[in-house]
Amino acid sequence: MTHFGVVAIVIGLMLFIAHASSDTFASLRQAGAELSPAVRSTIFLAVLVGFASKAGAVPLHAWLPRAHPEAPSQVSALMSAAMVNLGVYGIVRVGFDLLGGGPRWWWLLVLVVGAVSAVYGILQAAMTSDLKRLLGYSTTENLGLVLIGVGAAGVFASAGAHVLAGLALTAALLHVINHAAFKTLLFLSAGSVLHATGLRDLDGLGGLRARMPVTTGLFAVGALAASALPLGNAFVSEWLLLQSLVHGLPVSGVATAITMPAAVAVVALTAGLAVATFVKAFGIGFLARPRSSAAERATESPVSMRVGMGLAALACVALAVVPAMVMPGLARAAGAADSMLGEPAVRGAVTLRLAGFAGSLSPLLVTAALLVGVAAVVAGLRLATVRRTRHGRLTHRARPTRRDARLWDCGAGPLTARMEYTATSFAEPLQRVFDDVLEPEQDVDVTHLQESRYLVDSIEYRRRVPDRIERRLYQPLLAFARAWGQAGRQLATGSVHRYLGYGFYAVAGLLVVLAVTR
Amino acid sequence: MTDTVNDAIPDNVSGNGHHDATASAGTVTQPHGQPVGHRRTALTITPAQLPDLAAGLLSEGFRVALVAGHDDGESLRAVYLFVAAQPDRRVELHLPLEAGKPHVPSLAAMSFPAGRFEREMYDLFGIVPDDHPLPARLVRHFHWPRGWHPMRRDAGDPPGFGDIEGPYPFRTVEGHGVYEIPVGPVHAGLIEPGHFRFSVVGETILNLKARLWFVHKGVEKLFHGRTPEEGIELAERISGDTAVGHTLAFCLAVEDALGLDVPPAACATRAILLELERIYNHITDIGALCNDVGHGILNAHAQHIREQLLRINAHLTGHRLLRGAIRPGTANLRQAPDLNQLAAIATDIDDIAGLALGHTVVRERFTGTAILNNQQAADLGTLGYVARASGIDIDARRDHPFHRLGPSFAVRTHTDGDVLARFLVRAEEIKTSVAMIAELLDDNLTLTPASEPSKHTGHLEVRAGTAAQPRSGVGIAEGWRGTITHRVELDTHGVLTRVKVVDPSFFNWPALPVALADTIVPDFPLTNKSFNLSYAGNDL
Amino acid sequence: MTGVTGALGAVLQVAVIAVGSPYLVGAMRQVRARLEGRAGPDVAQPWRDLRKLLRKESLTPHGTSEVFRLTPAVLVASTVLVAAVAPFLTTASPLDPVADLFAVVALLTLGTVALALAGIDTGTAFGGMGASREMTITALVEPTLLVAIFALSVPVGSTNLGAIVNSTLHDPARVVSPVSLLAAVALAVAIIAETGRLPVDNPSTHLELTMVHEAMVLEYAGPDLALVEWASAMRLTVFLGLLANLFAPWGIATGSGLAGLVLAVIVFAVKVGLLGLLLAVGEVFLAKLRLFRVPELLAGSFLLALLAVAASFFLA
Repeated sequence: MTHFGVVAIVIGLMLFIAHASSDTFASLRQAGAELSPAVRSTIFLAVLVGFASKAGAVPLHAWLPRAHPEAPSQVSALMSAAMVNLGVYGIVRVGFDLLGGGPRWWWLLVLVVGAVSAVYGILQAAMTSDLKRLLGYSTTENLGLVLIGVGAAGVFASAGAHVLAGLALTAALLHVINHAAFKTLLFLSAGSVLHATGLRDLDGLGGLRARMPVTTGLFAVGALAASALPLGNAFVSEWLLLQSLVHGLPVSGVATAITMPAAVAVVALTAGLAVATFVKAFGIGFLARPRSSAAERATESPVSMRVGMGLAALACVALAVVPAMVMPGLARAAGAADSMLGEPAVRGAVTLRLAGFAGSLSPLLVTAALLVGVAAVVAGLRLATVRRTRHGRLTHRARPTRRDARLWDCGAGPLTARMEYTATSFAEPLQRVFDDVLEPEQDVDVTHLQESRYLVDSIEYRRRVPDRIERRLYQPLLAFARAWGQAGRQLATGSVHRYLGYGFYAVAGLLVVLAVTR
Repeated sequence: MTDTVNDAIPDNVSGNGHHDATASAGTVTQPHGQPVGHRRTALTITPAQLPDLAAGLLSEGFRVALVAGHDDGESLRAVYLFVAAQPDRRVELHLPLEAGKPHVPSLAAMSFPAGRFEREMYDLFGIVPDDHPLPARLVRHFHWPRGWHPMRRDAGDPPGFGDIEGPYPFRTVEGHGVYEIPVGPVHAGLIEPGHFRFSVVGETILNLKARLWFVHKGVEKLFHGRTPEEGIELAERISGDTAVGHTLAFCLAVEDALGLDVPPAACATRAILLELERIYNHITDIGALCNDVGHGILNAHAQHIREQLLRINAHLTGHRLLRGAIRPGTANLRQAPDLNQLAAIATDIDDIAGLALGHTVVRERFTGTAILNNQQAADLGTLGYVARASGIDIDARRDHPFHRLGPSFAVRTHTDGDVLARFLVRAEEIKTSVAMIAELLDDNLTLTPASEPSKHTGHLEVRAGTAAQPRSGVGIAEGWRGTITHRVELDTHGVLTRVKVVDPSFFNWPALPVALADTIVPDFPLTNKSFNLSYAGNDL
Repeated sequence: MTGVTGALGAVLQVAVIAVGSPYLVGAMRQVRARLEGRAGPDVAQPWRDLRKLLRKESLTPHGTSEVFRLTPAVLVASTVLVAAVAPFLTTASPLDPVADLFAVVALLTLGTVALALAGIDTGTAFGGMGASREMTITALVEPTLLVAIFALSVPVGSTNLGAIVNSTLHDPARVVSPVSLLAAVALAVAIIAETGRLPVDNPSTHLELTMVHEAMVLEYAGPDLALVEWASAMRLTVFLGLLANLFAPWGIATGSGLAGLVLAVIVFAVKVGLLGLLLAVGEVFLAKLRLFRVPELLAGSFLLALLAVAASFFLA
């Protein structure tokens, strides 16, 4: 898959370089302006295919959820944090900078690829119970969001709305950075869990908050970010992305009027599903009680791992609270991509204000207010209870302690780990909702005793949510290739006569073609 | 339909009809043993003969109505009661068993209910069903000591609770991501104790196991040593909402045993009481079904009607739940029910059912939910409205009548077997019941005004010369939940030595998990309510 | 002066919502009871319940963690923050630039997420079940909310609540535009789902297996439960208030002057009370949908919201 991507990029760039005097960016940029539209589009398409596969965009994502779970976690972190971003870099660099924008349909294509990737990625992530596979699919989702931003920026730029394009591109690039930060953190935490338990399967995890408090806390930071909720860094970039789409109205044209609402719907749907996905990942994986003996025996990871995660978490928090610190850099990057986008799209340190549009948000104040609010409520409650005890019978105690109470078991006896919700179960309602898209395979095998079909001997449940694109697209392709290989083997029997015959037919055929075309 | 029903009823149904099993017209079956009671024959056999005889009876259209263990002191005895309808036939198989080594061949493979009766019999009497495919405990509470069989004569007082048997071994559903929801025995709301163990993925129920018998009270044993008159107060309290049904079945059994004649007026009065009980319970559940789908306003109205009916009950019998009206050999109302009042209530009920079914969401919730198909309902031996909603034409009022039925009677059946079908059957049965009461009012009734002290028929009019020997009797009545069967044995002094009670819930409980296959978890309460099975009547 | 009354307005908003929301819940219960022919509890009963719960002992269900303990506080804090930021009584709140409509929705979702995590944290089947159902609903409600907001923001050119409200005040005709009406219906459905009312969730059921919201909070007791219940009431008020002021902002205080603020309090109470009344009356005639019909309802509202967005682009 990646080889295929490399081949596509090489073909595209070779084609590009063939038309330029040298392979420096400057000469390419110069050549890009002079190319015929057909060649430019061919180059862009080839490069897009290549870089989209690097970015893990649908339908070229197949390598991503396979590679991530198998690779060591730090490598996964690197892949998700750096490698996929190269894909975005390539598209932005070639599309905006070297080819200088291009027609609108390029960017609509990018937007559509992004939209499909985002929804498909998060749906698959919502279904899986393999923690690293989930994170891998989440990468597809986030890169999809980035591509939506890039595509929107291209659409706006091609319509001449450069301020808006700058905003969209800034949002996309900020999301690249945010994603790199939280995905590194999440993969490192997943690695820490894997290290401690040997498990990636959420259905076997649980109860880690007491055994691995640091990993749990840091994963929570990453999960909060990944679900694009306030206090997380991705909230800011998704907010910017939505803002750029909201203000797309002045950019006239039917294409915008259709794509912008669709893009908004996609971003919104993705946001909703991401929340469910990461509540599952964090809630089932780390909270409640252990579901397996491996999870029960887990201990906190060594300091080196904790430090690694801590640094990534620090980056997440910093990006969440003061995203303004990266804004100048982003503005420069946007400016480098397209000289028309030089103006910084977002201003303000504490409160982010959009340049040129009415819109503001203060992540710092929201975070602070929320934290203060929580502290105030906790303190207020304490105070209320303390005052009660002064008059009550617990006067000898300075502060009332919370009493440990039994969980409600309906009087049936102690609750076992088997009575906890599982990740598979958590995803099942959503799986039902998106039944048509996901086409899950599940069956229940009931074995009866031979005496009566109402006396059950055993029941077994099986479920698989296959990657449908992989199955529909790649399996037929592979089968096709294999069939041709088989056919080819029959053609090539090793007989010299046969090869001579092929040569004869080929020449004859060529002559016929020539005769017809002349 | 009603015509054939009436044709099937011999003229002497309202009488005691003793020893006339062979006399019923049109029967081609050869008698099974000696006649012992109303349309009932008995045969004493060895365990080895049981499977063939049982298979023969089942193929002739009999169903297992009751299997009871007996502790006769030096030996044990198992009694299998098979009944058939149209014409009404009852056959008993008696198996004397050695006290030291009581074994019976299991019938579980040919009859599902028989398999459950055998498990019950093992837990209560220690009678071992050989080769039972699923010999897990049924009635046995996990605090009971091992090897303690409470219905044995030497069982002694109930032992103190201890963790002896350990938790019930629930079947584990294999597969990734399956979890279990334990619900009960303590529930939110006023619900009797039962433990439900769901094996679930997400919202899909893969398997449900219902564990009951948390409130085994030993009612059957409490009957022992009482006179039939003293047994009434117990029978009325077997299941609070089925006071009439159980009392009637008990009285019919006692009357069968003693050969008592019941005057037609008393029979008509009993029939009215039976229908009154049916109406107030059906409307309660119709309201509750609406409440379970969040349509509270209809429940509020249904509760209002229920309260009116309970007040009518109190007015007619002196007790809101119709206790104290039925005695062996007689029945008593303080006055005839006001037909106009009942008709008005029937109209209101019709409105409620119409409104519920006219509400698209309510109807949608009911339709196709928890389907019990005809085959399943038949195989499991279900009774009452649960069976009738699955297309099984069964109703003891016609099949085992104690009083002539008027033309307004009809067995209401539906074929879909879903919540809607059970709802519809019950809504239609209310109408039938009101119409039946209207007809029954034309008969003579046994009325005693409230001003007179309730007259107990202090002594039982026992037929001369019949009380000198031990007697047995069977009573079958169609309570509102379904067919109730009681079997009593009396010693020479007319004292109860054994009473076996079978509530239709015993047959219907296993149908609940079967119907729930492929149902989602949040539809369980609705399904459960549509079955509305008794815990008290089941746990005994 | 504007700043001062604005700040006063923000404080007043929080106070009105904090104090008034239990009364709203009580009034809705009373209306429903009356319509069903019952006497029903007093309007102040929710407050009495809260007082009773606050006096009880704090309990920690065995094996639960800080997530479970902090959730009530997060729920209250996020709701109070929204109450302070959004324009309920005044558009002049100095906090308006801090958060826009997207942020408000995200903050309310944050509360839902906290509650879902608390449900899972108990490790009981009911907690997980409630959380799973709630997240399924949220995953479908959040998109609807975002898209509906989007539709409202496009004509205004801003997602800031103050800007939307001001724009509606200056151009009342916009309220009856297709965009606005479609968005209003979509928002209403989403709000019903988010606040756990019929036909999505039955707030008055005792059947654990059918619960959504109640299943998650099953393990809460005493003061913690009081906070959760109180926050739920406030969330209901906040959502209804948003609905009221996005589509009928009249009466809200726009400038300085205490009289305007007092009037705004009264008008706000009337508006939210009317919406609550409507909701309660509607609930009497509704029944609870089968769980897997709820997504169809939400998908419908999502489509409406999307139509609203499309309309906002095409009709602009």
